[in-house]
Amino acid sequence: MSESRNGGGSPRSAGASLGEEVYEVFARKKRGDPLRHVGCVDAPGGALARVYAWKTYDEENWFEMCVVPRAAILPAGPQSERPAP
Amino acid sequence: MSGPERVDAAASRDGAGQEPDPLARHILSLADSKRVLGIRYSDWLLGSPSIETGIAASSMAQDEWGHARLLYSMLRDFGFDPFAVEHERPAARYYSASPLDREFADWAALVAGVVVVDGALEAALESFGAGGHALARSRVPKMLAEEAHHRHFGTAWFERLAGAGGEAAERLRQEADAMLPETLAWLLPDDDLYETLVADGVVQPQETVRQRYEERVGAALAGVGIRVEEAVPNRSGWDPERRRAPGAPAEEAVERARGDRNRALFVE
Repeated sequence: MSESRNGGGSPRSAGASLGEEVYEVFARKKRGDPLRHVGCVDAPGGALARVYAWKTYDEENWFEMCVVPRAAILPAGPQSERPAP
Repeated sequence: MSGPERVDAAASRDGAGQEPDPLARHILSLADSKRVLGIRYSDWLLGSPSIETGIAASSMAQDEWGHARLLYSMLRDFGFDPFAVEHERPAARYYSASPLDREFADWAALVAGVVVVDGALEAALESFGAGGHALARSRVPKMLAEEAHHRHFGTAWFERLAGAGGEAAERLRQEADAMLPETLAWLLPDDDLYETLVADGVVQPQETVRQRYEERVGAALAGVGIRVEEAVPNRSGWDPERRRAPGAPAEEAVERARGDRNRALFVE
């Protein structure tokens, strides 16, 4: 949830020592708004990632929020040409 | 002064000496349990396994205190002063569920508490919200929406610890096993007062409430070998006035929740 972990890339995860993975959090304020990236959480699975995200990023009255395992995000474009770190 | 009248000479400026309404007592039981559960969650803002879990504990504490505040405010309709009820009762006058009398000693205890005790509070609220009390019908749905997050949190952590085996699973089993019998007694009071509430249509019958509770927590508890459908409520020493097992939360915990020491700095 620190800023350094909000911007993508491959920062260290505090949850890794707990066997957790990073989930990126996306949300929209109103129906029809684009989903925007609001942060990330460490969690051992999707069920807790959803709770952590909802409880952590509750500063807005979100219409919708979802979480995506960072590992499931596939880079596209020029970045995808680079070898994985 | 003895018996029900004591509720609430201490609890109410306006209602001293009156016979407390059965529904008022039920609301007080829900509100006090949420108040104390919020204290227990707040103990884990720091020291929980990760920042995310600390934030979740903080958020759940806020939820519980918000729910308690809404429930206390319902007592105004019964002639009680909600401020006095919240701030002027000693711990010995609390109607809170007895498994909350002691702190959650470790993370396994907190997880067991979320599933067993918070799960019972959710079932009780659901029953109350489905009844005919107008304020409950309007206020409880929002509480239940927040309670759903507590359930997801508790269930996921319960499964995680149970699946880990070893000491974690054993601690979880011990705590859940210890909490369940008195939690069931609190959730399913075997007294005339509850029968009155059922007859008045403001809560659901015991069988319905128990079935909902079992549906909600049964699978998780089975993960540590506890069969909730076979669990027997422990009504030993039942306090008919406060509708709970004997005992009380520590005065220090309740004093902390009331904020007495710091409030005294600002209030003459």
